[in-house]
Amino acid sequence: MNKNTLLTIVYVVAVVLLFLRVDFWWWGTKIHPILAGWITLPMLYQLGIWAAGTALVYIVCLVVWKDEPQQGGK
Amino acid sequence: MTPVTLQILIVLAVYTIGVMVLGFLSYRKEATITDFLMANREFKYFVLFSAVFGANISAVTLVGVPGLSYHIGWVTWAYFCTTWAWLTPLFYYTIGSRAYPLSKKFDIVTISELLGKRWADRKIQIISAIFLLFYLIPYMMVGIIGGGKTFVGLTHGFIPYWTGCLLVTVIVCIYVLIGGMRGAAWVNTFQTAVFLIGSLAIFLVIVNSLGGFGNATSSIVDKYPELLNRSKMPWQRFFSYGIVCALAVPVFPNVFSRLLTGKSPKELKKIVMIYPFAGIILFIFMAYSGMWGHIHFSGLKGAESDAILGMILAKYAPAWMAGVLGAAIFAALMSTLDSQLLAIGQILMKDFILPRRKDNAAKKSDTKWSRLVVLLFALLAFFLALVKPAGIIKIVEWGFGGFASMFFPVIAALYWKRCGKGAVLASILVSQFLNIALPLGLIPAAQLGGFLPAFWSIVGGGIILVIGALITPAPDKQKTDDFFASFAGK
Repeated sequence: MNKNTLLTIVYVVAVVLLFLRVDFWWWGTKIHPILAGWITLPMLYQLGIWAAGTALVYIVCLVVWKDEPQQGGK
Repeated sequence: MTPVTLQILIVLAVYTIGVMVLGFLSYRKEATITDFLMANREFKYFVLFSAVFGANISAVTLVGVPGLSYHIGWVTWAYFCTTWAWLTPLFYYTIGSRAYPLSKKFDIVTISELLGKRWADRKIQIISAIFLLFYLIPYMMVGIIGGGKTFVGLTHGFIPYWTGCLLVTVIVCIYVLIGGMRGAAWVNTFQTAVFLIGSLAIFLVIVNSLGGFGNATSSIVDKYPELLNRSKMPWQRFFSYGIVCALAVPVFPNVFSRLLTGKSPKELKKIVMIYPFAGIILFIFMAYSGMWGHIHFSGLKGAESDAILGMILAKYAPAWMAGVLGAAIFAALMSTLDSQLLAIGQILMKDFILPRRKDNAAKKSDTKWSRLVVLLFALLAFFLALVKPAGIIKIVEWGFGGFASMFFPVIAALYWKRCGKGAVLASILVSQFLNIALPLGLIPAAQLGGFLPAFWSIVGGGIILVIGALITPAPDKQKTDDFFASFAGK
């Protein structure tokens, strides 16, 4: 895939994540821990958003951002 | 003074001496202005990460986040991290990968300089520099306020607020004035290690004092369910702050200039990959510490909760450990404060003083003048911190909005050839006007739909930029092409 296309997809997914992180359906409802006595489902959901975003960072660093010699440097 | 307080102060004194020694070791007698302000762009990734992360992580994280999560619960880490921790490093790529070659070619250090050079326009440079300076002052105040409050919490008030503020200001000034950027980066490497390890220790001390993760959380479920269900955090505020925070950090003047101090773009790429992990770990530790702190110290009102970590440590940690962990809090806020002081020096030299000279050349006396200006701004921030205008998070929500409003102009400078200077100028003026006027009641808060005023200032500035760029003439093609020729692949 062309790097510019991939980069465009990365930015589009980033914008989608900005909206998905607002899990308003759980907002204000009674919450109980489901894991290890302290982790709740909304916490895991938010952690998932972070993980997806971090994956985007790694896609950019490993695939898009090449260590090309820069033009015009001193 | 109790023996416990004395022990805490001794540990803090040892930490301070360590910081000073590093500052002295990095002193260069014949430092040029580039060396003083940019350390000759020589950092490899470990120091670069510490310098950038240290500049980013401030009293907001180790004082404001526990203070906010005390009132609204765990959601505080998501409030910051589910955008900032990954979107900001992504923007480090977006901005840094293009700003770096430009900084080498044109010796660019500040955002205002970048905007001025892109459109060859002094007006844009000066106006944006004024706004950046304007927002740096409250942001510096946050660090000084955090230091004052932490001293009060750790020493049970033996060291009063004003003395704590003064101590933080004086210590930072000493090592910045002596060591400049290199000294600050070396100190930040030490400080970043201290606050990352210290935050883990704080977290464990608090969990231990409450009998484990499960016990701590079941107390919250029984007594303070609102801290788990997020009912105290409107989703509109959550949504808008995620955007404000992620857009603001890459254009913080203190962070932007440090992105350019790496030896090569490779070093920048490495820190981008570390950033999301360091960010989320730190914020999770701090948010849960503040939330669980509610069990030990209920009834704190408003900004009183900013002192919660110091209070918990003073009560539940051994004295020496409270001192070490207190040092972690100071490490975080000082590492930002020093970068902000240097950023002020950079803006004044690069945007105001050097362009007025016929040859744009630096003089030997510039380093001396930079140091004096840095000192004057530090004193200004100290006196304003004594007023304590609001809680730390309230101040940053507003200040970050001012920085975030510069994001789209910077992106246009680096990526949009068609965008003219009139559009950028209008975008900056409109967004900054909104960021200042909306909190003052230009439009009733109820009509902002629950979103932060800063969110509307970013949206307003973005719309003006796009419309302006499309309806005004394109900038000179030759000059624009020369500018864009600096990037590999254009």
